[in-house]
Amino acid sequence: MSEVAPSVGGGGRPHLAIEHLSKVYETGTGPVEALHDISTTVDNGAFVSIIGPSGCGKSTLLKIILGVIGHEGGRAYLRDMPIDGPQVGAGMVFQQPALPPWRKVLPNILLPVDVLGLPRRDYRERALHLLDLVGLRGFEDKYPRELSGGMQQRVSICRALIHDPDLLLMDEPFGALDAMTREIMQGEILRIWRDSGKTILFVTHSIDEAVLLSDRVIVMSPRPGRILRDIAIDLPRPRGGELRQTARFQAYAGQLRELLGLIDHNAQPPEPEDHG
Amino acid sequence: MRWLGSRWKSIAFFLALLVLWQVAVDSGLLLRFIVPSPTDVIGEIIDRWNRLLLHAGYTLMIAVSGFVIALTVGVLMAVLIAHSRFLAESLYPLLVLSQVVPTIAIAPILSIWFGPGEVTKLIVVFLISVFPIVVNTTAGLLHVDEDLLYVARGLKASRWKIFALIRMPNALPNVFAAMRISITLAVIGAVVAEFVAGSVGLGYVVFTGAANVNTRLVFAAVVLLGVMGIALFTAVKGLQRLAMPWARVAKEGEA
Amino acid sequence: MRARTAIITALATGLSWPAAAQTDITFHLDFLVNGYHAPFYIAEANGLYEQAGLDVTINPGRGSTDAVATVASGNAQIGFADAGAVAQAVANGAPVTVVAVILQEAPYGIISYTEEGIDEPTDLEGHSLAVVPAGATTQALPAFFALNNVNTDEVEAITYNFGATVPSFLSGQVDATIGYLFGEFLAARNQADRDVQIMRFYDWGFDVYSNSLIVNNDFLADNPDAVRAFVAATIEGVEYAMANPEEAVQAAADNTETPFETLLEQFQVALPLIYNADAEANGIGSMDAEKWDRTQSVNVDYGEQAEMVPTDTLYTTEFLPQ
Repeated sequence: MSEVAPSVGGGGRPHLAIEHLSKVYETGTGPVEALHDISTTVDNGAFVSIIGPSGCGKSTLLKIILGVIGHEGGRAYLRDMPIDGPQVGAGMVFQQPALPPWRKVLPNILLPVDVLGLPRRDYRERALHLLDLVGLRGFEDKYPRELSGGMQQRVSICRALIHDPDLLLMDEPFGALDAMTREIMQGEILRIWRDSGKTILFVTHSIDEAVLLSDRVIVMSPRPGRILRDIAIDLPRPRGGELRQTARFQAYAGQLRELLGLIDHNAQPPEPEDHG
Repeated sequence: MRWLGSRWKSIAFFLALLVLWQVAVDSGLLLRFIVPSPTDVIGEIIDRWNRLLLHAGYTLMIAVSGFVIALTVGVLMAVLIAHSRFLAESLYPLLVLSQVVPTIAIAPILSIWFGPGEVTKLIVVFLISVFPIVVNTTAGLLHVDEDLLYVARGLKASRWKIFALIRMPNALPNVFAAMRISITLAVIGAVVAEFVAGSVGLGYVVFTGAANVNTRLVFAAVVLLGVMGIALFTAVKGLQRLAMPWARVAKEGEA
Repeated sequence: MRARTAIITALATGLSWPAAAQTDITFHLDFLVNGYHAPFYIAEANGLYEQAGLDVTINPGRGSTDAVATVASGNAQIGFADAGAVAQAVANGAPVTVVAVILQEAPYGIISYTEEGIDEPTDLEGHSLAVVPAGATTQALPAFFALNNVNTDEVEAITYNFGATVPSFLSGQVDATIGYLFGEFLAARNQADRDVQIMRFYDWGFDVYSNSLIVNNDFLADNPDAVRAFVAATIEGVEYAMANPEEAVQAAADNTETPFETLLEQFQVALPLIYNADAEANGIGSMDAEKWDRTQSVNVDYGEQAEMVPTDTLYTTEFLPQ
């Protein structure tokens, strides 16, 4: 399987399409516009990151795509079907693992199976396989509190994948981990992505992380969240930590930093081109 | 070993206190009809063991039955409150009312309404012990990890599924925390009720002893009540250990 | 077995066949079991109630007000309560009627060490006195003071909670305490290291009725024969207890944690109040309008009762043995 994401797939249609989407929250002090006229597409099997300052509506966007909160204007489609309710075809991973402490690792991974009312026995093998994939085989009978933060986040990823959704929504999944664990997890998510062929929409605060992982990085503005730029990351795969030292990586990072207002005049962008 | 060491120290301290108390009474420092000595109290318990056991059994029965009713009704009320804002707004004032009106003050009125029998006593135990259960359980049902709820809703989970798979187990630690408070309140409730009506139970024994200025009898009943309270509290803790095995395992990094 | 007993009972008491089923009666006492309740318990234990066609359950109470309310609400059919509390409740509309006065005299007074010399009411001036926040004594005390011209400003009344008066008296916190003959007085006397005496209000002109048998008015209207039988059996119990005090007290002791010896003493000091000169002359349980009005007037003058009620709504002698 190629690690370079195909620009078109799934019958030539994008996996995810968002058209002029906007979102307004009612608050005690009046309505607040969280997202303003968002339009983008995500191709089948692509790894796309969203980066932006706190409160730019990145998380809101993921929840709208998951179908757990509504939106005011515009439209969103998953595999050409309008998103008008929960999307079982998407799996969600948050910054915190959100594992119920009363379930052992295996039942935790099987939670979606229980919620969907599917027979557990049909998914047991798959759960064990996913544990293998994240290197947690043998931990299935442990409780979450017996695991480290990184291990818990791995379980959370397994849970998001158990019912085999083809879109993985990740909301700063490594934001709460220490630097070392974070780098290891970045390697793992790339491996999982490569092995599973899922489409991943990945929200992050980290410029390095966005450049390292993604095919494209969507840069958003502060509230109301707008798409400032959409940058294709044209770096060879497979990617590893050593990529960070390269001039091209640095140039992408510098460009993103500048867009986010963290100006770095020493960086030399290598003719970046906007995607789409 | 260290745990045992500190435990021995507290036992030794307790024994020293008893000896001191004994000496204080025997020497006349404390008046015997106001404070009987530990041996007086133990003697009283031995002398009246059979009768006292009967009274203790009754109090235990009232406290535990009332507690079970409070637990059942309390959890159901919490479910209703967590389920609907309307019910929350209608039930909470009643609950708060049940708490601010001193049960000890309304118990005599209850005994006039419902007679001096078990009904009154169970109502008193219920009123005194239901509040912590409702409040804590409601908090446990509502304070669920938001992200976990999004995960479940993203899977089209029904309200019932979210309740059964997430909210209820999530509330379990709160329910048990409340149970530990309520079981001791239930014993107090049973005693208050027996103070107010009837002719059986350790509360009645305390009342009889006080009426006849028989402090030995009062202390004997109080000691048994203390033992009962500790036993019930320990039983609830044991139940919690059984029901919540995940809370027993060592946390990562603490093993 | 039960049926046969019922038949024998019916024949023995001369009721017409077929015998009516036993009438259930809950008899709510004024307080915890005390020696003066021995007549009731012996009537129950010896089958006097059963022979009268009654199935009586005796419940200890928690004060006269509680007893009146329990009978008024119908949770008990018959009760035992202080006459003053009954009058007060009837004035407030409680549907109960007195059918017999058992304690013919007020059983409370001032308890003090004999050596203190509080022998007359005015001797209390300059002394401290423990009083309780509620109950019959709270209105009896000002009446007693007024009757005997005691300067109340000179008496330092200190309110203690129920049960704390005797310990505070014995430990010297107060010079005297108010209390009942068969309650605080005996408790103080038995635990004190010096002689203790009681100055009874009754002996100083406070001539009112005390504990009486009361009946719920609906029950009275529906079961006059049962009430008559109950009063008769109860008076029989009093007579039996007078003749066999130890046996009667044992019947009471079987129903309480209070020791036999204590109960016996209680019964012995109470008996002269049950069988006093009036009872000897007119029969146990008897009463008259004049003393009932005196009893009420204490409430009206010193208590919460708004006005006197007609004595015929308060009591009836119709159910006393003729």
